[in-house]
Amino acid sequence: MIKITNLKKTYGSGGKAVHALKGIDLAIENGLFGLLGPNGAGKTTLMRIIAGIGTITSGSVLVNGIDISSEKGKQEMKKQLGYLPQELGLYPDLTGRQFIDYMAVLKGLADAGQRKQRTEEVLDTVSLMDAADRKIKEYSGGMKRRVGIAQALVNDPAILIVDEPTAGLDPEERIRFRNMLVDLAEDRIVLLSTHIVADIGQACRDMAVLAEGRICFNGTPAELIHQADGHVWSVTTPDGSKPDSGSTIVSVQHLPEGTKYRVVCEQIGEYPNTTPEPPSLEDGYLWLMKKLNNQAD
Amino acid sequence: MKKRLFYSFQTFQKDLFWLPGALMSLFLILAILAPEDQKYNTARAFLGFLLPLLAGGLASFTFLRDTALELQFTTSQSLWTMILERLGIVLAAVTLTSLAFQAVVQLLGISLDPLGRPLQRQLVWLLPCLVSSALGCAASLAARNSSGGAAAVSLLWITQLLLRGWFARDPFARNFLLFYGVMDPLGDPLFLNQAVLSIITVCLLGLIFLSLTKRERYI
Repeated sequence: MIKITNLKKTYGSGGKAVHALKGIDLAIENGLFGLLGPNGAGKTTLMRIIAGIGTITSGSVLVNGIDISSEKGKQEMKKQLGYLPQELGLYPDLTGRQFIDYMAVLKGLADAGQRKQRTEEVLDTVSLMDAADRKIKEYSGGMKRRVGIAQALVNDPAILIVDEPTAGLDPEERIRFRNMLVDLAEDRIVLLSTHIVADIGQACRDMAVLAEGRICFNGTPAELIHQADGHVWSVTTPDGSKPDSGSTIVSVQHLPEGTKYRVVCEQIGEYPNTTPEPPSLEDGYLWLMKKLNNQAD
Repeated sequence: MKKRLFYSFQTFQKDLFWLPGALMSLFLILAILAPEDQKYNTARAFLGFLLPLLAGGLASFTFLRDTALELQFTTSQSLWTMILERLGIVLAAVTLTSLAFQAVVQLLGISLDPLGRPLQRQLVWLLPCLVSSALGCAASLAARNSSGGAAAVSLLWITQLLLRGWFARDPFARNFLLFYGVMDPLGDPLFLNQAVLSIITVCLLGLIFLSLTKRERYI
């Protein structure tokens, strides 16, 4: 279990201080947990702190009972950690197999036989066996991501942290990757950070939304959807004019009978062709962001 | 361990190691072409003056040019292991260069005896190399820029090279002179100079460790 209590993170000091995390409280159990939020919300900062790379300004993070505020605690926790960073840097001159083997060495798998077996297993898990002896510089973006997840899994981690793992993948690869994460989450904590709402909705049991350094929602995807009940409409305007400025336009379709908008708002105005719609997770997320923006104003 | 070193070397910026080889070849040519009374000085210049600059320059690139540094930071290896392994590779390359150079110089009939007995002679270049490599690494981390580390080493090197006469004469300043060993290899003050250089190396290693505990600065 990951238990985060009143976690704050500030970069810089004085007038130039940037408060990236402003008091996060979160408890994450086994399973796939999604962390959603706009760019710059603090997701990567939070991921890096949990992964033992970032330092804590105040508050505490316990990972399976280990306090990671000290150097010793970080090292102890990292024995159970698999991490796939947002900007994945690899060694282009190594082959996929060599890279996984090297990471296994660094993660403390000293026995050569055991390491070889684990390397083969994870290469198989990410379907890279056929390309395992090719240099990484010859890999496509999707293959590099798969090498990234393979290295994260090579020590059979109890905690797997993946930061924007599907960015840049084609739809088929993205779905495959998402399903793989669901399988992996059966017996471990998988923490998935993304700004792709569909990835969370299709895969996560629990989720949180992070915005401007604060957790503004923590629950199930269904609960987030439920928040937008009664606030989603479909509006068709014959002349193509947009609905009021107070609404957030989710999608636009140009049809023979006019322009059809899907909107999220507190209350829809007087339009001839308006029908209420059941909300999706994306609507729930947009409704939450809209409420936050209104509060800020 | 063998496997780890193999990969560490594979992933290191191997192209940087062409430089010591190239400079060694250049100095060997210069030593061959030099007049008889200058051959020793040419060999001494490579060992005592140039190698520390090379070691410092190479060490400046040990961390920040690592393309997978973020992944390295998420493994359970200790920071000391990372530091010693990376600086160790640089020092191994410099040591190989130095030993190869000395062997060829001996074959050319140039005596290095004025630098002391064979083991004593190794300290003349090794300790300055340790200081400059630790400085290069520490400065690059402080500046968050590999070139910043190389610049710091170059600045120290050029300052000490130009003022080496003053440094060597001043009883206090000579303890900090990287080139004192090669300038006065059999003098009594050398022991204190080497002790001070060793202490500086240890302090710089400590500084590197402290810098690396703030991992997020480097990714």
